[in-house]
Amino acid sequence: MMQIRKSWLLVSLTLVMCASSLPVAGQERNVYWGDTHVHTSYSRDAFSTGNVNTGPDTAYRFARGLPVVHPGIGSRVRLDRPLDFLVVADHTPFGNGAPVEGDQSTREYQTAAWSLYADAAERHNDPGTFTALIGWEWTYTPGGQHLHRVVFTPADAETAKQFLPASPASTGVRPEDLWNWLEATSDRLGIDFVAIPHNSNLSGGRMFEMVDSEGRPISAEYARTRMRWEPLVEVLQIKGTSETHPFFSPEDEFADFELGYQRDGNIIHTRGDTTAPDPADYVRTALLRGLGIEEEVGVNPYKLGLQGATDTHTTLSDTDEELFAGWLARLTGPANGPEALPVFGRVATWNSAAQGITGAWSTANTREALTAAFKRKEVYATSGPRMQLRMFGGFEFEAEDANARDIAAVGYGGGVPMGGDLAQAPSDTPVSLLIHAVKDPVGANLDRVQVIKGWLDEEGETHERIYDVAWAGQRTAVNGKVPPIGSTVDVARATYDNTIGSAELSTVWVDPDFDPDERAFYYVRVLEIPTPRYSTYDAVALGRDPAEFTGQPPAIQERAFSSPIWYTP
Amino acid sequence: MTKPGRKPAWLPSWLRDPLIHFLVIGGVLFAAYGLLVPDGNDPRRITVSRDALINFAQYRANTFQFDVLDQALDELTAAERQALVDEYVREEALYREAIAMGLDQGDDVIRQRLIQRLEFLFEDNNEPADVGRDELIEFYTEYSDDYIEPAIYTFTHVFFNAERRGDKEAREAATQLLAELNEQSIPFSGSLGYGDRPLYFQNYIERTRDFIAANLGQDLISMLDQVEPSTSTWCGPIQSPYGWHLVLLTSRESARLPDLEEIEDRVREDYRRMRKEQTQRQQLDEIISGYEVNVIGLDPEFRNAESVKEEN
Repeated sequence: MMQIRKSWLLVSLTLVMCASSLPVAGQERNVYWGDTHVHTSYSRDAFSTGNVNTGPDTAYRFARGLPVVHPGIGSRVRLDRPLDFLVVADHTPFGNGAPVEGDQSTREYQTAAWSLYADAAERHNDPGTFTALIGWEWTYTPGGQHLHRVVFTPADAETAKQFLPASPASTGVRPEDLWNWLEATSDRLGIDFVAIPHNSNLSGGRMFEMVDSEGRPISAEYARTRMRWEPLVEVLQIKGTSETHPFFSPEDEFADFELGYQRDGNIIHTRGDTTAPDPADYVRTALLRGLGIEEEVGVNPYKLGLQGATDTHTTLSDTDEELFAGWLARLTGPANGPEALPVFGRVATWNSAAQGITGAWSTANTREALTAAFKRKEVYATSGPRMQLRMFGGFEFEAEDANARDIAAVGYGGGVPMGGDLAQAPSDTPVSLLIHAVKDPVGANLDRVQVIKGWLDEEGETHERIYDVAWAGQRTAVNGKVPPIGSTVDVARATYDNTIGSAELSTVWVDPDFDPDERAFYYVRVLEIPTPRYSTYDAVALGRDPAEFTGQPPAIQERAFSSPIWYTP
Repeated sequence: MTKPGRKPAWLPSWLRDPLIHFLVIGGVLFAAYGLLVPDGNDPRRITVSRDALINFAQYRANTFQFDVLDQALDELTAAERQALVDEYVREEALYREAIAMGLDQGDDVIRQRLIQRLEFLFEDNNEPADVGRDELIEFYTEYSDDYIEPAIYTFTHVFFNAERRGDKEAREAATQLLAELNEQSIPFSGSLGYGDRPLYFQNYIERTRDFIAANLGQDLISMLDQVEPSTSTWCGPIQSPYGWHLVLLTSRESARLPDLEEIEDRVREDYRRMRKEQTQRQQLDEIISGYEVNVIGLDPEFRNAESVKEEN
């Protein structure tokens, strides 16, 4: 039975890979939206912050668009647009709060608790309509440094019940120990796993290091194993954006976005201590480091796809600024601002962001197909809005391809999608990217599309550059930068309108600085026009001045990040 | 439907047995006694047993493998073992002291946690016995509103992008093409050959109102409600937030209530869920109704009198 499952997965992966190298006809991939990181009241920190009575069923019901009762504010809430998939990821071991009687220290208790999650997922999994992926969070926080991973599997409940989910205590505290456990369990049961590190911004310099957990330089084997299990990173989530930091990207005028709790350019951790930003904390620096390590040892340990998830502790996955369901139950809602926070560290509510969702280009809305999309990194992160983003890389795209009736056919036919690889440019032809971005159907217009390129030069130095490649309106670039689009936000009323910006932006961009002998990566950042931040809605509801009262920018430019495409000489 | 307050027939008989209630309450009292007087009759004596120490270590290590820690305990040095014992004793002593001082009282986190555990105790996570056909039909009939499927539409469209062409030009181009499409009886699949690239989808196959409205706006939906479905008659131009559209609507199915057979799994799941919640609620209500409630000081007239009485 397990063997059949495994080989079926392999066959389906093979088919997908074949398909991507041929012009696609009828083999359409659609974008499916989901959250891979939701905590329920069974997580200790969720419980102690006021979420006392909602379990996996509530998480799934909310995600599927059914009305539920908010655990913090007690009112009925409903997601106006259901999600397509969800991972409930409570902390392991389940030492606190699952509705199982008995001694929490026993294996029986743990097994019974795990069964609750597996059974709930099975009840709500409805192939083609809604996918419930079975998962958990491996949570190791030495000295407050977040080395956390969400883990999920495409396996069904029956199979998932044949293992107890790993925790740092059961596997060992090093990420390497988790990967060993995944390897062994995968071999034993013939099932796959995806582990996704998150909150690298709170890792205190530990997430994307130049060395392994023993302090040795990263080896090819380490890099291969890491990539086998952790092909992606959660780049946007409630506790902040991990894309980059102004400290590392001073030229990037959009780098200062929802960085989480900071003071004087330092990061404030959940236990209250502070650290300076470290290159190991951010994804762009990790992508750059990866190029250098690959040059040294032959394998890139940080070839990361980008995805978003909430990490909500309210059980309710929601990223809508206007109706944000909150991070911690007790702190949700306009009246429960920073002053109401005697618990759970010093991370004030309005410092957290209403963000983190993944768009997955998948052949179907099923556990197998979605897991395959994650594994080939054909996924992207947004801060909440469901903008549609396609990116293909190749050597032959031409300007008029941007106007093609069927962008997907041209893209898959002549290139690789996001998450893919290009190598050995023919006759030194520069890399060209075919990009198509469409606004969220019910959201704000688009400001611009940018390509972010990182590369490793002959001296082994890494560099980054940002190119504005498509933008709304008649703006002209000044010193290589398109000026700001302006704003329609009425802060006092917490409104905006779509009289500026474009509904759709598409282009073919040819790398003007291409060097066929340099390793590089390219990813796309799409920016919306400014819209009110959730703290602004809160402040207006309270009759207070948004900027002054919340200490937050009244408006933000929501955004999407594609997974990168890599070029190898 | 079960009337509130009546014990439903499907509640397992043992759960209705007063003896069980007695035993549960007795057990809770016993456990509480055990907490307060955990070590024989001497609250000032702490006995550190091997089992207690391993159990303690499991929580500290956040791992729950008794055998592993059992073995690990033997491998500790004397100093390490003593440190573990000291830690256990420290926690036990401070815990007892806190309880003795009544620090568990008036702490909302502890209060909520205990209530949560009690609620969990009455949460029935076993799959209930099979649901009878009759009760399922009764439930489906009563809650049929929840199962109504929204109207669905199948159409294709030709799009003229106002941002690219300009609004007036887009509308004119659409108006001109409408006649051509109808004269030549351009079929469903023909939409691919005309107009601009649609922002979201070319064809909408059996899509709901909400989905279409989210993509193309309310005006287009209103139009779809007015035209007769046809395999050859195009209509328009209709305006969306993005430009102008010519539409070939080939089918429109009104909102409908599916037969029970079509959605039986879902109805059964909902019914079980409701029953589970009902059981839990009733059991908790029984606990609550076992208390005599004496409300004082709410009537403003007697406010002062009551507070005087309390002071006495």
